[in-house]
Amino acid sequence: MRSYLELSARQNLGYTIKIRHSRGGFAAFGAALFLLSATAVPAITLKPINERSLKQEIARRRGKVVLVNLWSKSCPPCIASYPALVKLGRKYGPQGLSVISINVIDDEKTRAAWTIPFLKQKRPTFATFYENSKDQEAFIRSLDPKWYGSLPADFLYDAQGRRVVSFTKGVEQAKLEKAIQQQLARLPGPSRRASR
Amino acid sequence: MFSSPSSRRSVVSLFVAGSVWVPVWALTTQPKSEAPAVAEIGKLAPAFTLTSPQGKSFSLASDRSAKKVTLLMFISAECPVSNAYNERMVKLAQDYTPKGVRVLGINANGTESVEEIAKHAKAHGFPFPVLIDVGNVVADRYDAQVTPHTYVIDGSGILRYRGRIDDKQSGGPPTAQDLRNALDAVLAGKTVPVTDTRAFGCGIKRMEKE
Repeated sequence: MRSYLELSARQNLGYTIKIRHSRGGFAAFGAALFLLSATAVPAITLKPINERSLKQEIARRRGKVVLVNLWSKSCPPCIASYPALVKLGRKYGPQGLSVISINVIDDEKTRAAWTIPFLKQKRPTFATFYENSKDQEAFIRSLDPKWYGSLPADFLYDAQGRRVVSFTKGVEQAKLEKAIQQQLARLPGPSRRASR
Repeated sequence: MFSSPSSRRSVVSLFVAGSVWVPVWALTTQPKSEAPAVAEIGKLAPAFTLTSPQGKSFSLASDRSAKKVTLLMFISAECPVSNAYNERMVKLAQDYTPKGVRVLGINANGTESVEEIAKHAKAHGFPFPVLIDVGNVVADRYDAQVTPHTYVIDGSGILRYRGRIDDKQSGGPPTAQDLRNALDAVLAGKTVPVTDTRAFGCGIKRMEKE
């Protein structure tokens, strides 16, 4: 009887691997697993978030340095700097950085047609959300009372969940990375938690 | 000391350069002692004079003497969020200019050229001037962070409202007309119901300063 071992990686890699069960099947299966572990990224989903659930997301990352990033299709510098954000996540995730990326302004149609395909292309390894608060103002104020909603915006939190610095005046990649390094240096040791 | 022709030419060049730059500096920064360093609701709004791409000067101080209500709108020619408000800004000017409100657009984005700003204003039929805030001096004094970011100043020069136009950045009928509510209240001599609002938009691209 002919049988197939099917590894569905549709969500992660956008394709399906089919391996015929044969003498070499287990070796091929092992190779496929290795390939997946080396290249797989979490499935791209956009979960709703509001000021209350954001607070909870930050709190449950206690012990890690948290970077909250806000971006939109309506913000060209956000799009241009997103690959750098993905790199930051990959580079510092193993050292204890956890990124929470929040898409704002884009409506449901835009998110389906543009935002999710964009994220699938950029392949972030961090959690991605969309802002879904009843009161956008309350959401903005909850991040920084002095901030008026300018994008892109990044907020860095220390391991105790306290906001230590806000970057709201355009793309400040070098300053942001330096601030991340400073906070990571204060962690007691290499974080063993997952980066999400 | 400056006897050689080349030295004289240098001195003349310096003088000419100075005569050009000093008035520009004077036009863009006119701090008034009673106004706070950064604009605050309920306090005197910082005075300024800015010029349009056509070279015409507009001054807030002169508005005060004219007892006019002033609407400032920090906008952008490139920002998609600001551009989503173009028609609404035109309608605001059409609705409130006849009521005695002076409407001024301000572009403080260092990345947008004077030509681009003039072309954009013309293309969208702005019935208000768009002034160039060189070095984002006025944006800094108003702590304008985003486009669009609006300010309502009453006839006495007091800042009465700061924030969003409404709560719908991407179109559709807004549920909160904060700017219109503020303008209506100021024109009626009433208290502005909500004085400080915020909404997502493009950050003003500021000139880096030491």
